[in-house]
Amino acid sequence: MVRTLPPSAPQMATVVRLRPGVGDEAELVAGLRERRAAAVDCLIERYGALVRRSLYRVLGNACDLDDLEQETYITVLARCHTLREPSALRSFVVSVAMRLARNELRKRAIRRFVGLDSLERSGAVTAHDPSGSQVMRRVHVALDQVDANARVAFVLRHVEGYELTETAAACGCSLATVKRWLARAEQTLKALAAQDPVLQGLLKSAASEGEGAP
Amino acid sequence: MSPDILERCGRLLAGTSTVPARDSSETELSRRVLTGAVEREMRGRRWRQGLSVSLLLVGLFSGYAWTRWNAANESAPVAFTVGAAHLRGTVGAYVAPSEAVPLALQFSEGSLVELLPGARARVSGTSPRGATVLLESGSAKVQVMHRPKAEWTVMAGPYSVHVHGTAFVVGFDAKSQVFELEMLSGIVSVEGPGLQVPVEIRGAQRFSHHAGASAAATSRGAPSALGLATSSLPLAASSSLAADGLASLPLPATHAPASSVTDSAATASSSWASRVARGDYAAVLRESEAQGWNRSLAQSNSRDLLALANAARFLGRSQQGREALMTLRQRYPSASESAQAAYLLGRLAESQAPADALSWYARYQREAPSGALLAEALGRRVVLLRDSGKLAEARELAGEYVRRFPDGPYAAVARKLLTP
Repeated sequence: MVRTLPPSAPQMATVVRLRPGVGDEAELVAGLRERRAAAVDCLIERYGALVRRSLYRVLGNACDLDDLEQETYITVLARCHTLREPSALRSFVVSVAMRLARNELRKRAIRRFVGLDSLERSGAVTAHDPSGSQVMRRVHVALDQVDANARVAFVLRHVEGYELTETAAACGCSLATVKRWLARAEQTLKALAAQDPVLQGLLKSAASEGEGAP
Repeated sequence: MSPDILERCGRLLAGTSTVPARDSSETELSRRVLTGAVEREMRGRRWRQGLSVSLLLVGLFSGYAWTRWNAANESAPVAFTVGAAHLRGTVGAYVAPSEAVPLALQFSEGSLVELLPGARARVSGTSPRGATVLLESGSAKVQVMHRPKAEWTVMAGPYSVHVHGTAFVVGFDAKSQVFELEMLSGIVSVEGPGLQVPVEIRGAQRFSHHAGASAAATSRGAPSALGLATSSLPLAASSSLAADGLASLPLPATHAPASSVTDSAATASSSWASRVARGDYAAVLRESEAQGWNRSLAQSNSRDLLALANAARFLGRSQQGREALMTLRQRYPSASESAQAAYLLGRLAESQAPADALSWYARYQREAPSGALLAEALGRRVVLLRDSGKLAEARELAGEYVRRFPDGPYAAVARKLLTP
């Protein structure tokens, strides 16, 4: 069976590995329900990047990232029989990943609370720009103080660029709840920025950008 | 509108974060996912099995504990408290209420004996299945919790009331030797002097028995038409139903009236008498009406006609009761039930036509000169004559009443009339 290549892919030069038995989402979901290895391969290939990126951005570092990614697929495999609409597989996978990320954030908060973990752990900072690294580190430290729900909503909405309705679906809650979580995240970040000169600078630059904008 | 802090932070994170590469290959990850899914499934199955076993064990343990607790409770005799202060009761100790306030004996299995003012009683024994309460005098309201194998006895003077789970008021007057029992619900059986077999009382019946009178009745060998009436009884009537209760008392099979006229044609209604005795009034009437009321009257034997009449009277259908009684008298003029019908016709006529009632009572006296209801019929005549202003005749009959039934239920009324 030959798979259709994505429109953006260079069709002439790329060699695509064939994965027999898995075509569209419905077929993929059917394969997952039957625990077919080809379906799992396809799931990882199709959603691996999305899952890893979302988890990484929500968690703020690469700690346990591989484990959580694997746990996401295992959970999808175990719960895919509850999926009524195969076309909702993407949303389903993201929601599973986000649920696991939220649980992980809560565990980390507890570990920090009992002194088994430090707030300053952050692996999501690239080191090529010292000033940017400083801002990023401060942002991550600030995000660590935002509660798990609000953090997940923030990452999906403002980092991943999801619509509010998509964010709500991925979080498994209502639109109003997502808005409330986002408001809470904003409130927390603003409060932290008021005491942090680095974050204050970020706010000011944001304001000046806004004024300069058409 | 300026971008807010969330948007700014989001842009920063989106622009700078580079996702680290996976440690393992996709193939390796896929294999681990499949293995993990199988392990999780097995883990879930084991967990469910563990939960089922745990629940089963908890259930078994609960059942065992409940059985042990129940057995321990059942083997312990019932305890009781006295009064509103719930003082611990002592078996054998006399208890009596104050002059105005009833005294409650609350038993641990839920039964309640309320001694009414003037009563004097003691709990003479307790067992895991019930208790024996000895009511020496006065009245008590008894509510016995219905339990399997309950053994409750209320002894009022020489009478024993065996309780099967019920509520009733029982009283015994030591001076006049009158025993009274008014049922509120359920069934009891009464044994006592002059009662040849235990008398079962149920429903909303009222039973009154005079020890002396019963002995006299027995010795005279009165006809056993009413079973209870064989050996007893003036039946004090506090209400129409209570008065009718006499006729509705169940007839023990061995005490079926010797002179009952049987009718082989009346096969369908052969059980009406026993069903009415059980209190199944409405169903019996419905059945007779379904067969055709007049046809039922024409085909029933004397015993069933009396049962139909009683059923109709107990349901307040006086006219039907009267028709059944009149039919009984017309069809079986020589049956023992015929005399009873005369008495009951008198009862039915009392409120509307006292003169007719007087006539029916007199007829009963003529037809059953030693009948079980004689004291009642004579007493009612005394009362009706007094109420209609015929005092001379009333006094004459009152004298006869006092001579024949010095301890009868109307003795006080008769003596009062005789007092100048």
